[in-house]
Amino acid sequence: MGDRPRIGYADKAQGAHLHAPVRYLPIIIVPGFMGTRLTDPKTGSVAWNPLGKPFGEGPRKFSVDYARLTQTSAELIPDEDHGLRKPDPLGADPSAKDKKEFDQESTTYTRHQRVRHASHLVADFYGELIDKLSTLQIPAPADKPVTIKPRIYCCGYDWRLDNAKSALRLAAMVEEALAETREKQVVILAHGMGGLVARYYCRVLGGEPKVFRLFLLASPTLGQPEAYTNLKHGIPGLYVRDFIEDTDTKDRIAEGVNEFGTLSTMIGTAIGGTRGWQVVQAAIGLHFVLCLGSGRYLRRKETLYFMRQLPAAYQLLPGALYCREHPWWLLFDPLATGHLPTGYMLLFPTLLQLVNIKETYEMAQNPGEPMEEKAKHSATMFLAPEEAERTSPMARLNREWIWERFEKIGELISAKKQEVRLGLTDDSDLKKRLDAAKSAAEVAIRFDKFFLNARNNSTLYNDIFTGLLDLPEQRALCAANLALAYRFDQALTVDPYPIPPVNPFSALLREVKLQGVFGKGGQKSEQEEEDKWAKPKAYMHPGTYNAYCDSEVVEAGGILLSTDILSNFDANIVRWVLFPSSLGFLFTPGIAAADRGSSFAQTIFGDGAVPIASANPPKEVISAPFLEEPKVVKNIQHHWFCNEPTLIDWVTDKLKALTADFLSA
Amino acid sequence: MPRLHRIQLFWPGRTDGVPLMGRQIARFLADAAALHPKLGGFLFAPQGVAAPLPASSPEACEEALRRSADTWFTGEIERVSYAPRFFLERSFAPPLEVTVTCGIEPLNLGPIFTPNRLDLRVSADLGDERCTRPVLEGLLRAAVLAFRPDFAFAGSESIPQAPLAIFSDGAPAVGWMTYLRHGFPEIPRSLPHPAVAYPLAPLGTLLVAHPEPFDERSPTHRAAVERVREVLVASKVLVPAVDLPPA
Repeated sequence: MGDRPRIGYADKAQGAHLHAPVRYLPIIIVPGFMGTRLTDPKTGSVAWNPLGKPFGEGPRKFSVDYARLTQTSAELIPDEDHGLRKPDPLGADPSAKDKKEFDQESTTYTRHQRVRHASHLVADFYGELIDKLSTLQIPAPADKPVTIKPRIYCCGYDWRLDNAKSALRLAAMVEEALAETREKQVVILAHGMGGLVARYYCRVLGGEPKVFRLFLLASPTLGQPEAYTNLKHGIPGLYVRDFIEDTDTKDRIAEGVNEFGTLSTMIGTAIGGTRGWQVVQAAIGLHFVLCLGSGRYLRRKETLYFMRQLPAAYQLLPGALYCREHPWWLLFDPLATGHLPTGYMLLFPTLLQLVNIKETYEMAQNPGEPMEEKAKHSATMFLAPEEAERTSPMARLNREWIWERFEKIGELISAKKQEVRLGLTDDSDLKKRLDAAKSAAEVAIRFDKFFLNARNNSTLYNDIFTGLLDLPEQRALCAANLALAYRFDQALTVDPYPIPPVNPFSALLREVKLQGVFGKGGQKSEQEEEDKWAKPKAYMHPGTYNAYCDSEVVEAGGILLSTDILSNFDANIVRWVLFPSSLGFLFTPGIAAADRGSSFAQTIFGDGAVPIASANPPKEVISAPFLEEPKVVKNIQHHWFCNEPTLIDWVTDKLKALTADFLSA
Repeated sequence: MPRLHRIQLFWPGRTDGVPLMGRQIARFLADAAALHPKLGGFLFAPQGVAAPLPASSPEACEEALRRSADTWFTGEIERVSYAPRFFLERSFAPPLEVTVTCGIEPLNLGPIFTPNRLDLRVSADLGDERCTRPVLEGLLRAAVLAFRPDFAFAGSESIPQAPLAIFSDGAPAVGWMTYLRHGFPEIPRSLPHPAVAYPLAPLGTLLVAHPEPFDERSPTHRAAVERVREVLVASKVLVPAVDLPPA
């Protein structure tokens, strides 16, 4: 839209004046999981208002209708009641008698008038941000005589349901904002899961041209590992009563896992130097809220069933892109047979990897025992082959193959160390060999036939999450929600074509050759460089700013503890229970000092819910790079992210700076 | 001058009853008035009433409580709490206002932080004479004596950040002035200069991080508060309120 015509007026006493035309900056805030206050459209009763009176600032009173929340077949709508009265200038409202009071009341009302649908959001999570944005003074560019006013829209949605549906609400809100402000584009601020909704709107619902800038605030772009634990074991909580009362061993193990996970996170984070209990409390807040709303203690199985009914919870699962980029996430069946795998479980940072990396680093600094001994020891601890039934010849072959590779690498390293001792080569060469050996070992782990190629999305969803289908009465529901999650993930993935399976031996050979383990090293061919960029990527709006926290521990999973190993001649079936990976903290002191750039740290640090690996994906994994280096925030939990003062200042500064471009667009 | 001073108190679920709570509020307002002549004359504005009413007696405070009742549910159980608001001079943007959220009973649903609380705000246009340290400290003391909280603090609007119900464990926040009742672990005798601690008999201990009224724009003031917080964290004093032994 071009410049609006100036409107002038004449004042008898003071001469002629010109009105500066007004432009609006429409800003839409999309909250995250649990960030929207929800109402039943049929009854009008509030089903989700956890921080209503007396526990929070409201509006309206505390209400958590657990029974209604479990009914995911019927949508809930964002609550529109903000409880504000419009000031009455005629004095009919006796509480606004004198002008000063009326002006102040008008200011409050006007501020909320600048904020549409303010009551959609849980005020305690987003109130600070809304207040700052609604009163933002935006200086006009020197060459444009306009007045710029922010106009805030809060886009709540039913956070339980399919995010694709929620994106339709966002689309409607964008149209409302554009119609009201008569602008062509909006700015979206999306927190947490709201980022998935916003990206779906941009990519699938054609919203990209209407979005001038997208701010992702602690958004799990590649998924949230904790979602798997929640869907597998229920909402984190202190299920002491369950643990005491349950008689079934498997249930007790699960409750213990949940208990231990909570406690070990506390221990781990205390060792790591962060605020242990507060991290835990943030994680188990949802359990508390639901207990409060239902008026009784909720058992773990109840929260598990509740969680599994929520389509959005599945859409938070980490996708193949996450697994592809971070070697600490492996998808495997350790007793694979070469037939279609069964009983796959998502493997989180495990004790094996933690021990391995620790030993590898130690060895790199102080070369001691040959690597193959250490690797063998680590692998044996975890796989415990002598305790498993192994009727599959392929499984035996695979295991032998891995040891052969390690032995070969160990021989090379030993030979090199001998050369160093004899003065035939220098230390730098040995360091290079050790680095190459480490890479080779990682490649071996990733590409061996034990493990899936995580770039293959369909394999991921068809096979890997079968671990969620462990309860027969929930299989249909889980399968339906997994199908939704798969389609949602596909919609947000650019170029999701299936990549042919890689021959692991060839892949290993190519890698070790490149690293120079068997002689002179090489460089990747042009085709290989191209292949690198042909990989699937996560859709990203081309005008995206990103912000995340990197200091809080994320309880992102666990070790697979086998409870049953069943086998027959054709396939080995393994049943697993997750054991918290925070145990690893007990073995790696000083984890708080871990380099945040390391792939290990990227999966265990974040904002308590979303790891860095997902909140700040590398540029190779996104379809368009972020506009600049992300804003990194410290010491803030996921729910409170939007209240963090430095983050709010960053957002407001960015908005002021982009005004000139916005007016020209 | 700082824009706003804030005093907050937190106490656990109690079965106090409206008459007792009315007397507690009346005692606090009377003690506040005794601190300075311009701190007298608290009003409250119940909905549906033409003009604000004086909160000058326990009966008036009871009336304020009853008119501010909120009912809410935990499952099938109906609960009632109260959130009367009192102010000086005018209802909108008053120089001083206090909201008392009370009547929350023990919920017996696990270690969930669901506190009763008092939130007092003193705005800058109250004037220098009413924003002095003795007056602000006096208000905090009066509130502690009236309501017997687990912990309390005085600071600015944003420092410290108050613990939020349900989603936090209720570990005390440390402000310019911090009160901890008996029952918290022992506070270290030696505090970083210029912080001081002295007993608020017979209930607990008051720590003051800096002698001047807190201004969050001052790096010196913020650093003083942070030093006290670090000492208390290192000494493991700031335990969750849900873990405290009964008072």
